[in-house]
Amino acid sequence: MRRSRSQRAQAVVEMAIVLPVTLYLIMGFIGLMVMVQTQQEVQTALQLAAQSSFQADTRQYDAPGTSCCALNGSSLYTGNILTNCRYAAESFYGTMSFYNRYLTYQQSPLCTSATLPGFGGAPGVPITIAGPPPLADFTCDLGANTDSAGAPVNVCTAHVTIHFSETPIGFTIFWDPTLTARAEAIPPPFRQTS
Amino acid sequence: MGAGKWLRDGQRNGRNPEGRRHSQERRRFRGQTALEFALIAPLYFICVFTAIDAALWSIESEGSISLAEQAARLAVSASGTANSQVAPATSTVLNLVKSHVSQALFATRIVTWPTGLPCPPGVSGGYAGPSEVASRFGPSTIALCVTTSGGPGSPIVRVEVVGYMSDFVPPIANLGWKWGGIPLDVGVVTHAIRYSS
Repeated sequence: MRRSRSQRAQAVVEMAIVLPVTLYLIMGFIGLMVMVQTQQEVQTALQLAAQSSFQADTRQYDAPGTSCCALNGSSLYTGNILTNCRYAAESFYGTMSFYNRYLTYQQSPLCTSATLPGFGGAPGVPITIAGPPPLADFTCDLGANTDSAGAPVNVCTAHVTIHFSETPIGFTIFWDPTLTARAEAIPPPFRQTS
Repeated sequence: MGAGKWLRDGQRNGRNPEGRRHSQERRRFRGQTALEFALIAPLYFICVFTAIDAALWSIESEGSISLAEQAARLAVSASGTANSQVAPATSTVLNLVKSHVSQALFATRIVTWPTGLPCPPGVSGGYAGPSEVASRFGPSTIALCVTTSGGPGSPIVRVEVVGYMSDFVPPIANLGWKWGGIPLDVGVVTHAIRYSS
């Protein structure tokens, strides 16, 4: 029955091994949950952005000086670009609310393409933007493709990096994973056109 | 006669110093085991419950995001006729989407935030929003709030799901895990579909 000094030392060593491993597993588990949740939220935000970009008049531009979407104390300038793009931005930034402190986005032009009829001009004519297009945390390619019926398809994409290294989860996930989300939308059949 | 009986006899009459020593060692061993258990058991249960709670939190959060997204899609649609400029009532929206997500929300109750009241503030507001929902509707309850703003062209519809989700871990001070649940605040924004006549 007697426990020798070596046995007691063994118990301490076992504890010293098991405890970090357990914490490692738990942190990894929580990290995975955060990644899944972030992916789903970005996906939802992009889906709503892609769809809401159809809600504006297809030939309507924001007036010079227009801006939207509170971004860490600043705002996104949307003057002279298609209102569809602002609608997409308002949906995206309004929906992304989780973990914003630990997320960074790859900056891209807010809107691209729009070369199809109904998106800013005649076919083959790109969006008219005074000056460089505003950079945003996501990008929407308006009318990048067409569906089988010839209707334009909006494709929105975002790349998000989660900074686990700034949190206790960095104990397990010591790198900063980058997630990619993409959403597509086709116009509603009875969309407003004027 | 078993060894234990022999030791007890030796201990009683004091005639067996070897047995007495063994008894003391056994007691010390038991004490050490109890102490180790007392240290390890809480840690072990905290680990287990944390893992279960993390899974619950993830599933319930995803269910809530789905709830908010589906509610937003319904809220932006016209109510009544194709040319209607009126959004459906929040209770109508909730009734339509509730069944889709109720299983993912386990023991969490879903209610409609009263019409006319401003939506409760989110988690960024120091848990005031979830606490407001809990004080109004009780613990383990999330409230669906739909607001519309902006002009008649394409108003912005915001759907919020705020409250405390049910969990297993007992309340932990200063973590906001009060009211027997994990605080939740999901907001979804989109533009409404308004058809021209």
